[in-house]
Amino acid sequence: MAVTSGHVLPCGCDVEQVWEAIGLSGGHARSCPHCAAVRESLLVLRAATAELARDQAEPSSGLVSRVMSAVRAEVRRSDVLPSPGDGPARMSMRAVAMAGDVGEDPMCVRLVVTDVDGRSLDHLNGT
Amino acid sequence: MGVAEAVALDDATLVARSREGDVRAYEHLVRRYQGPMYRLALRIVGGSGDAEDVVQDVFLTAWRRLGQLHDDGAFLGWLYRSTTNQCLNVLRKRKPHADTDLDEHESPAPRTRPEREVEMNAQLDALRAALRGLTPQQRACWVLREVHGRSYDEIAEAIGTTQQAVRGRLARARAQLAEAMAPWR
Ligand SMILES: [Zn+2]
Repeated sequence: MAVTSGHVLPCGCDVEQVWEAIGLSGGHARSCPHCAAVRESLLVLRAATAELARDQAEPSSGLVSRVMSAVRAEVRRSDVLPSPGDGPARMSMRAVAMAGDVGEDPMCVRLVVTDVDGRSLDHLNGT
Repeated sequence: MGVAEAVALDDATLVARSREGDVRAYEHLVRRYQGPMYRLALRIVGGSGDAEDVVQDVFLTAWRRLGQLHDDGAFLGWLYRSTTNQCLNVLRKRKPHADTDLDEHESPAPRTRPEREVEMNAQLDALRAALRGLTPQQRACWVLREVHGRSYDEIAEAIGTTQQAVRGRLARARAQLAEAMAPWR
């Protein structure tokens, strides 16, 4: 399907048509001076694009731990305020189980349950 | 779950475990995809600080919404959509001409490099500069298609438009970028 780019060449072709024909060895795009010039620019663009794609810039090494701290804070929050069916519920279920075992007020029980990594929430509360 | 085991697990399994509240399973998903999402964000928003903020928001939101993801294997497509959206939000909020915090290219070419490599670096700089001259939506379309190889369908969904509109934006982006590369032909 033809796409009008708004960049119509004096010969009537547009840049997208030249792009689609870039692999062809003959035809109008190779013989027409307007299309041939655009084709050369597109070849440079293609090479620079491949170079851009090879650039494997990495985020800073602390990003994973920042994300996971936020996720764990979320898990702790959902323990205090159980969200109705929206998001992971494992903490809440553990808290309920512990409440049953200890037979205390769930808000107090929260202090003795562990998070999903097995660390105590007391320990994590300060972080 | 050991690291080796998690590395071998596919997305769908890790997503299912994460949904059950397995934070370690989710951490493996974050490790698996933080790089590509960071690079996508960096190419769209331009600054490494903004790009990291985007990635952090995307993975926290994804965690919150795991319950709404019905196809566990669709996690990566969801990340691409979410990251693109978040980038466009950041650019919408950014004041016009406030590009002072944009990163310049990572590696200035030392004099000892071969001429071909110096030229390629100059072309890469020109491409990055030309990308900044596109509209955010054109840039998002072009980066998703030409650098990250996403389908027209996925891109249309990511930026909330039709495939035809995506093709139009890509065409305009390509024409503008080709013009910027003309001095090297
Ligand atoms: Zn022509």
